[in-house]
Parts: sequence; structure tokens; C-alpha cells
Amino acid sequence: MIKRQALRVLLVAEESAGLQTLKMLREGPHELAGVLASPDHESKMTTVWHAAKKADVPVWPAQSVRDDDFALKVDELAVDVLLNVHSLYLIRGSILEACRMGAYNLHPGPLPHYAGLNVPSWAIYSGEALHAVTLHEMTPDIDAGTIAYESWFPIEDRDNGFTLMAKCIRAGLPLVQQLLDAAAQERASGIPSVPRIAQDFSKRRYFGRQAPNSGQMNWNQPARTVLNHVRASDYSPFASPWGAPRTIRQGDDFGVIKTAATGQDVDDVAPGFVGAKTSHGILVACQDQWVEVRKLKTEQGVVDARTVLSSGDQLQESPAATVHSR
Amino acid sequence: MSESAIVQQRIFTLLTQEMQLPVSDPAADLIDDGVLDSLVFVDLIARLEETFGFEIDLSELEIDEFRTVEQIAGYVAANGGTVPLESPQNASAAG
Repeated sequence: MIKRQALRVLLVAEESAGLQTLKMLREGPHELAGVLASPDHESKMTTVWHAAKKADVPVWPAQSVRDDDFALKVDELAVDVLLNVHSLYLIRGSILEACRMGAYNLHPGPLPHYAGLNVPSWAIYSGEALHAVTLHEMTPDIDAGTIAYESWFPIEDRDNGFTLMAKCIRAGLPLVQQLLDAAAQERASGIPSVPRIAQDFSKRRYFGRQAPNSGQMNWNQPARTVLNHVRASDYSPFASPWGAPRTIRQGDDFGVIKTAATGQDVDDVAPGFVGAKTSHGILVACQDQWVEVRKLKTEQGVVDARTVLSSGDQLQESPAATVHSR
Repeated sequence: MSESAIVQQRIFTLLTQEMQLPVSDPAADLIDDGVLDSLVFVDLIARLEETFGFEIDLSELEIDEFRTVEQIAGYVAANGGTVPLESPQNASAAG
């Protein structure tokens, strides 16, 4: 019964979300027609490429999706559904069209408001209280197809870029299962079962690769914005796609890694002025309040901010913010 | 064998056999050794939840306390993870 409705799925995937989707597909009722992933030959890490090879699943280099000829392979494989999970290659329209029941992308943000790259970090930076992961139909335009499913969850004060991305993965995988179940039902019954909700493009915001303020810390902002910038960039101890926001003191360049709110108003000092040391860090003035800076990244690595900053220092303001959206 | 030791062995097996990661010993720093990056870390979280039947609160997670097999085992034990039924083959895999 289940096998009669099984779909043939082609997975284009990277990263941990891709690994988990691969595992889910291998354990589920549908047939994995193949996997496209970035080849790795030397990585210590478990990658989608490595996992697919190990499982004897047919695998092709991810960049094949840029080749119109691969549409013939998709047709030959009789692919019902293509799933794109955290792969950043633009897939040729001919390949999307070769999939019998469509191609879907798992996007770690709500659409149309957060299209593009690193959107969990952008959501934190923007002070959002809620975030979502979206499964949408793929079209030649990025993150622009109809929405099949979305799942919303709160952004906690303690969330950073890394934890929010992880929450997106956790919430996204059930959507993939939901899609496949609905698509299988749709094929069996002939009755549309997969939701196809058009996006309102008047509300679309697209975020590119670049970090806010070109990666520079602007102390001349409300403390809440400064704190959000730091935690949105925070993937520590792993590498952040934005890097740490940079600040300068008399030519010395630091990355701001960890900060905390104080709730204490600033009086008569310029933004970026360094105040007293505290039990966990050192105070730096923002536009309205002090923030406690706890960890900085220097040439020596990540250090206690109190070991490099002194009361009376002046951290330079950064250029005006340039939010890259269109 | 204590429950703590069983949890530690199961995590070691998960890392080395299921995830095919080169873990040398339970005290090795998985992040400093380049065994875990952010992406594999998220995969590990999902596998720990599945294996030990509990949910990890990502917002509360202190990654710096999650760097060795010993630390992870301590976290699992302290946060309601339950020891799965284990095959003798897996139970002896940590060596």
C-alpha cells in the first residue's frame, strides 16, 4: 500500500539539514532516486556527499544543477519531487521542470519577508520575536515560489545565529515529511493536496551575503540593536557566516563576540566610550544605555574583554548602517 | 557498568560508527580537534535526542560545555536522557 504511493525523490542538499533529510528519506517509505551534493574527499566531517556514498545512493556533484543536460538525467530517473535542502546552487529551470510533481526548497526563514542568505541572523538583528522555516516551490527566482508549508517558533533572548539556525533545521524536517505525504496522496487521488500559497512580493525583502554595517559595530545605536547585532553574528565556538562585528580602538581592531544588557542609561559620554569593569566584562556606551562587553576576538584568539579594554578608551564608531535588502 | 559509562559508550559509538567521525578518546575536544563544526553539531543534537529520547533546549545550550564525549554524556544524564537498549556489539564498540 505504502510502496504503491512511494515517490521518487531527488535530494540536492548540504550541511546538517541535508544530512538529516538524507537520513529521513532513507528510513522512510519513499524512493531516493539520488543525491546531489558538494564532493568532499578530505573533510574530517560527515558530509551529505560522504553519507550518500556510504549508503550506496547514486550521487552527483551539486554543480550539476547548473547544467541543462542534467534535466535529461532527472527525466531518466523519473523524479517526482526534487528537494533542495540548504544547497546554495541555483538550479536550472529545465531541471525544475523535469520533476513530475515539482521542486521544493527548505528555507530557514519566513517568506516573503526574509528571502536570501543568513536570514536567521537577520531576524535576530532586526529584533524579531518570531521566526519561521518555510518549504516552498522552487522557481528560477530565488525563494519566490508558492509556499507549501511553514512552521513558526519564538526567538528567545538567549538565541544567537547558531541556535536559531539549528531551530530552523529542527522545525523544517517535519515539513519535508508533510510535503512528501501530501504529494503522495495527491498523486494517488488526483486531488490537489499540497498547499500552493502565492507570496505577496510587495512584502519581499531579500538579504545578500554581506553582514549589517559591512560587519562593523556601530555603537551609535540603541543598546538593543548593538546586542542584537552581536548575538545575530554569534555562532561561537564555530565560524560565523558574518564574522564578529568589528570595532576599533586607536588602530587596534577587535571582534565583539559576547555582550550582555545592563539596563543602565548613559549620561554625557559618547557612544563607544569604555566605562567601568564589572564582574563579567566591561561597560561600553551605546546611544541610550551601557552594554557589558564580555568577550572580544583579537589576534591572540577569544579573550576576556577586560584584558584588552580600559576605562576611558574610546571605541570608534563604524560607518552608517547599510542594510542590504531589495 | 554504571549508567554514566553506558551513556558515554553509546555517544562514542554514535560519533564514531553512525556519524563516522574520528574521535580519539572521550576526553578529546571535538571542536578544537576539528571533528565537529556547526553543521555536524546540529546533526549530533538531533541524533542525541533520538537516541536518548529527550529534547535539547537549543536556546539554553552552552556549547562550551558540550565539547567532549564526557561532557555530552554528563549533559544527557543531567537533562533526562534515558539509556537506550543496546546491542552487545554496540555496547563494546567504545573499547
